[in-house]
Amino acid sequence: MTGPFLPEDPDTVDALRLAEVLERVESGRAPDLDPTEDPALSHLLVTAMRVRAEMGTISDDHAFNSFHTRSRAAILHSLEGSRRVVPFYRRPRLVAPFAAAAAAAAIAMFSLAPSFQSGQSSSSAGTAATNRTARSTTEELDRLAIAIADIHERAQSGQPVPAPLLRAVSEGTARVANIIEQNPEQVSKETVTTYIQAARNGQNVLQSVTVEQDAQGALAAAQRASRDGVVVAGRFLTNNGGTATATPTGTATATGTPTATGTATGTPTASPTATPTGSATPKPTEPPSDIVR
Amino acid sequence: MPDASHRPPMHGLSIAVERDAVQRASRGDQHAVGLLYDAYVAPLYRFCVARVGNEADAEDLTEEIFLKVMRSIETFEWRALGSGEGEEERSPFRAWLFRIARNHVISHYRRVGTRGTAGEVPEWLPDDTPGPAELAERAITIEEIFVAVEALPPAQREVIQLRFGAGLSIAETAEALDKHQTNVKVLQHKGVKRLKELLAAPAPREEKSKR
Repeated sequence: MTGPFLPEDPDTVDALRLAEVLERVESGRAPDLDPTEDPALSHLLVTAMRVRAEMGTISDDHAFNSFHTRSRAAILHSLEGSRRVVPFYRRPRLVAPFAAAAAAAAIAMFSLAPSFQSGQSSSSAGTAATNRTARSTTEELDRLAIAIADIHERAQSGQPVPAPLLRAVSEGTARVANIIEQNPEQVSKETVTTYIQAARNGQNVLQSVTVEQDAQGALAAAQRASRDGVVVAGRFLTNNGGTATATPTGTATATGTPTATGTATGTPTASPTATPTGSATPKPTEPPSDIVR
Repeated sequence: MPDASHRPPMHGLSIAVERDAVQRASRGDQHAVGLLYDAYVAPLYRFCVARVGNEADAEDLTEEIFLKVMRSIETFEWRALGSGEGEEERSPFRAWLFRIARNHVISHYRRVGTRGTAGEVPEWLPDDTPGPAELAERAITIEEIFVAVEALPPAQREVIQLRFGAGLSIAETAEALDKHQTNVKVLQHKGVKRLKELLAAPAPREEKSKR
């Protein structure tokens, strides 16, 4: 005679019962359990749910949200790179200035970090996975450009910008500004030029975005960071004989051996005070072609 | 009775949406990749924190694991997980992802040659032994839970981390660990029972440090 599986071992019976009750609770239903009739099982359920609830708090803070935003951009970027296309630059909704700024970041990266371009498909995972504390300036610039482009894309499509994305801009901008201020000998003029362009793009984009509820503070912080970033970069360029704010115009291509063809039309007048006067408006004539990274 | 509303979300995506996203991601659709990442970053991160005990390593591992998953997603075949009559369908992708996560974390331990800091007994651990009633009243910190989970036998620990850290169902946990569902239920029961004892009555420091 066959029938349903009926375990005789009391421990197994208890295990099946606990699993059943837990599954009910996890699916949002009330536990099918009377604490007075089965206090032992009730205590186990309490323990399980408390452990579960406490573990849930691990991903419940600002640090995690910030990580989520940063790592998302890095992962998408890394996967795009390994597939040898950069949809980010191709997206029709992206207007040229942002693509040009990203191209500038890419060019700076290729010229400043040769190791980044070799073995991209296999090593990009490791690059993306590096701890945030160890990230290089060029990586920060790249992430910043991606975050700004993401914000711009959302603004174009009428989507509100979430606070974590704004924080990615303010944190990234501030980190690079800090490096420029604290360790000017570690950065090149080209890097700072790329940075000032990114910070200006950030300023422009952030002027006209709609943000999610409770993200006004994050927006203000991102705007402030972008403004400060321009000032810091301007001061560096002034002190180091900067001559241009590298406004990429025309086409920028970076394939195996990246080359940039452009005309810098900006007038570098970033002053060491808090009011840089010159603002070069990016005027690319066409979006950059495929950029393999 | 605990309030179920405080639990972490079990399922970020419906099965149908997830299946579609997996198919699109395997064809290189970046929006689908982003969707899957948004759905899995939190449970994956919680699982990694629970395994390695520190956030910096967990961040790196989370990224590495997800990239690994996406780079091999073309090899993934969607096969419905066995669910009982009337039960909600379970995600084979989630189970596959966490199987990769588990193996990756094991490789990580082999690389660094340590089990991380989760097993260390922190200074603040009280020596007094509150009873079950006090346990119900007092707040349990995440650090206490890490220490207690780390003290479990490996098989129980893995089940607890996948069930309560990553939010996998019994069926998904069984698939991820390549175990029978009944076996997972028994391990879960033993693990929770042991956790209840450990959290209610912390053992003396010398005893714990032997583990």
